[in-house]
Amino acid sequence: MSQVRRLAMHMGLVVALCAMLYPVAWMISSSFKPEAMIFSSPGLIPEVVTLENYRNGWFSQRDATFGLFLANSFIVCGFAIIGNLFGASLAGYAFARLKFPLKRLWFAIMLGSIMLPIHAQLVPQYLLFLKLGWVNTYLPLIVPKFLATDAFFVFLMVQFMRTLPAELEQAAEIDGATFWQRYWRIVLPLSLPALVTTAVFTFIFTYNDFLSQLIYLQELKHKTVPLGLALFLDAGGGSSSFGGLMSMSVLSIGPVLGFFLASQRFLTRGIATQGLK
Amino acid sequence: MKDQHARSRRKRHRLTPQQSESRAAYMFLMPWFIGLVLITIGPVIASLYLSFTRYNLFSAPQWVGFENYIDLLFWDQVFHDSVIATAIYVLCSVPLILIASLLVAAVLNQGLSGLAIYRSLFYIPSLIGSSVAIGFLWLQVFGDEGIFNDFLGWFGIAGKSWVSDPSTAPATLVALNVWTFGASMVIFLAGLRQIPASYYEAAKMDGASSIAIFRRITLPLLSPIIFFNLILLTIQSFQGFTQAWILSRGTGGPANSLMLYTVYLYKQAFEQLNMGAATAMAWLLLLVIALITGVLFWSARYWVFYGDDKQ
Amino acid sequence: MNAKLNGLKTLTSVLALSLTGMVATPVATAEAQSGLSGEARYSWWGGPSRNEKTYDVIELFESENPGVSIVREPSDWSGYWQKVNVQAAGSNLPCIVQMQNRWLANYDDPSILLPLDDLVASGNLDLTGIPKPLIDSGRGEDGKLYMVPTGVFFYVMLMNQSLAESTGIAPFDPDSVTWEEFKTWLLAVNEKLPDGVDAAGGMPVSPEAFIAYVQSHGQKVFSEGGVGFDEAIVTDWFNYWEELRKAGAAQDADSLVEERSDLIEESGIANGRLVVQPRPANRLDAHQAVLDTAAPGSNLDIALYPLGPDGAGEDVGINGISIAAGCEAGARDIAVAYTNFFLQDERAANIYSSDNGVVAVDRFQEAQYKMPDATDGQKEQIEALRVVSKRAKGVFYPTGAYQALKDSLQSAYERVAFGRSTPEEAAANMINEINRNMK
Repeated sequence: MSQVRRLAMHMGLVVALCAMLYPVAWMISSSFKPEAMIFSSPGLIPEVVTLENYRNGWFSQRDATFGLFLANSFIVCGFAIIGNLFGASLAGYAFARLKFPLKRLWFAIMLGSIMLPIHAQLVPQYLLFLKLGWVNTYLPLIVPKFLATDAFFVFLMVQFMRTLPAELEQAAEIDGATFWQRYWRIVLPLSLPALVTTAVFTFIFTYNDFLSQLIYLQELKHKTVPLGLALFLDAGGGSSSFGGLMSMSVLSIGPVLGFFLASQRFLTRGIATQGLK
Repeated sequence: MKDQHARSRRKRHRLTPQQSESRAAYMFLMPWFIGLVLITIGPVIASLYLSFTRYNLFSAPQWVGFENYIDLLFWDQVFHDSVIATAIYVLCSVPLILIASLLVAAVLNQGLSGLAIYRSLFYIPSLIGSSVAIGFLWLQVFGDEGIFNDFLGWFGIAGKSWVSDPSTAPATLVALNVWTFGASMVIFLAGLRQIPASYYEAAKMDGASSIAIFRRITLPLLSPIIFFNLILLTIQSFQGFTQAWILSRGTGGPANSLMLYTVYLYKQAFEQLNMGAATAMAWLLLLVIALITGVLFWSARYWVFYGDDKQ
Repeated sequence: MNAKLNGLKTLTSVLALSLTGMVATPVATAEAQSGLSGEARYSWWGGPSRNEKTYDVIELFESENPGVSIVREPSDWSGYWQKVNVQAAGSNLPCIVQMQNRWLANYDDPSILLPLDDLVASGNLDLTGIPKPLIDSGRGEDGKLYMVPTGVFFYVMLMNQSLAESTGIAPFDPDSVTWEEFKTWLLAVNEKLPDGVDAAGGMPVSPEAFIAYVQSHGQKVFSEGGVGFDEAIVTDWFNYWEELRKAGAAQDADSLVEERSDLIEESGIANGRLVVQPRPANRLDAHQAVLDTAAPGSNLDIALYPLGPDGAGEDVGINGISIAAGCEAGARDIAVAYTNFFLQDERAANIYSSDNGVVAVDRFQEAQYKMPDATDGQKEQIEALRVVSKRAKGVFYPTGAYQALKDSLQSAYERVAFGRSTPEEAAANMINEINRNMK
């Protein structure tokens, strides 16, 4: 690639980024403004810089700092990731690489299960988890992941695993490897990009998932980041804390970004198919 | 004795390769089957049943046959508004996100320096795209005093409040959705990583131009991932909720222009306590999505190429 | 493979157990003097400042009742009702539920909320000092008492007195202006206002202002199974505001939409862009606080809704406490004790200081009015309530009715203001929509 084209590409990307990140910059900037000035002096450069919002936001709930909400989110996200990696890669392998009767039917059912909007199932689902005694625990947010109910991720696994050349497993088959070995030793390592993607997305979906956390986590002690953020606003006509909202929103991006950056290492190292002749 | 017995039984029931493959497949699917039976199927069937009832969440549902469906389809003006709003939303967002994410992913995959930084920066909007704070941020961009109007001002164009006018509000919602294209981009990047480097090396040795490589190698090999993103985005856009909810402050307005299908469904279910109508809406949506997904899957045989395809 | 799967399963169930363990409830050992022990769940809505006050009240209650613990379940406003709906559907409501009379009809069933009449009759629940009409607002369609009032809320027009005076136009009487006089005044004021400031905002889409208009014209808001007003009055309402909007005296359609949230910080009145806007009276101080930075030196006051041919039309609502029907006996006793404490304990009343409406018990109303550190806002709110409570016309809100009115009024007027419907079409549509939702 010529120097000129490289430079042009960088320029294009930087311009696009500047436009895209303006709202984020505004959010960061307003998180350092005195609360009263967030809307009254909405410029990008704060006239007065303060850390007040961060302190107030962090300690806005008695008996529960924002750190607790972050920790709770991590617990939920961590288990959800493990669950999704487990459930989705197993089901994904079967759909992608194995032949079995009724495969198309099961696949259609699997995909169909994400076509029904969640809001219509919320109440029956709540009743189910209530019967199991799981309400007000993290279980409704975690256990379903181990059972591959997030069909998006099964589908993602299927699509990635199907891009792997068929010859890969043939050699192993001749060597008499079991399906489990083929899954565990060949397909799974080669699907690292898909696994990383699943982990990243599970993290983000779970981290941002407001509705089910709202419903299944009742007490303050169990609340997670999205619920904690909502506590800053009072749309019922009361007083809100925009400083708290902005500062804790900024703060809550940190872990996600860190997780994302860390996972990218695996992505760049994940070119295992290079050895393929 | 026992061992012998067992061994002889195993012999008698020796599985053909196809049988053992099926058996393995069902073992791999076991967690999913358990989830299907224990968690998924119950609420799905319940919602189908509820769609034929009048149900306010608290008292027992009363069977009303197709009344909810007929009411929605023939009498409910807001439902019609929501169908139009959703159609616009899906038709605009899906192609725009696909193009933007594929384009940026392809550019980033060229081996530019600072890849990790770019990738993360492009991804940030996806991280906060459904946060409650976004309602205020979008007002700072497309509101009357927003930066978009400042930008137009440089060219002498008079601005307005883009988020408030029912004729432009849907565009700002689409913009918000496209703004979070980073998620699809990450999937594309992972897909690009999965393409064996040897393919590229061979093509380069043959002296192919980078555009030819993109068309002959990248696009076909990436097609399963493009297909995945297409299906994912289609379903997600049909079910788009959070962003419209936050932008419209839970109203679906101005003048129902942000009343996406699921927003109305939610309002019916949990604000009007009209769960019968809400579940009926859900099943109508399921039918539409299933139909469109079916068409997409049918079309896939012409443009999606899998590594396990028999040549 | 089976073994591995099983291993993972075991691991998951162990993890699951440990997660469940995290929420195991502590068994109280210390018996309080009151004989109460155990815990009760308590959920309420509110922003940071209300949460603070509520925590203070809870802590005081807990310190006086050792062995009792209140499980805190705060939510923001919209999340709150979503949660309550799902919890009620599963008979898993918290024992102590914050309630508002506009939404009460959704839940006024003995299988969801505990009818409180017996507890009141036996003296267990102490409603001393709460005026009877307020108590009656806590009754369901079946006449049973499902909530006890803790605070009285009502909507008024907040008025930027400084802006109004700066125009030099003679002020109107905030207690007895008529709708016609009010319009004339807005048009006159508008002539003298600086650029970027409108005389009125938020009014046409405010359900409270609309209710005041309807009832002051002798019509009912809701009747059996539908609305109680006719198309003509809705058309009049839309025309009233269209005339003002076109004259530039009422906020343009864009700003109306931009400010549709009920958030104070986004409102025109708190940012010095409006002279008059409908808001809850108990929020005067909070608006003033924002206005002090946005436009220092400006002073907010309360004006009541104008009068019509049939006198005043505003409604008075109550916030209060309900007790869940599914609440077990021990927890129910705690819920009753907490409610009594919240209502009748002077320290609790002072801590809460009418945060969610003027305190319902009359002796505390007096006391808070006379308190040396009472703010102007608190005083004005209590003064306004004294006038309003004499003339208000209470509204009974059937199931889903308030939300239906709010949504339909908003979208109907938006259609008119953006030129997508005539006022007549919008009025007919609006009534249709509300009636369908109330069916």
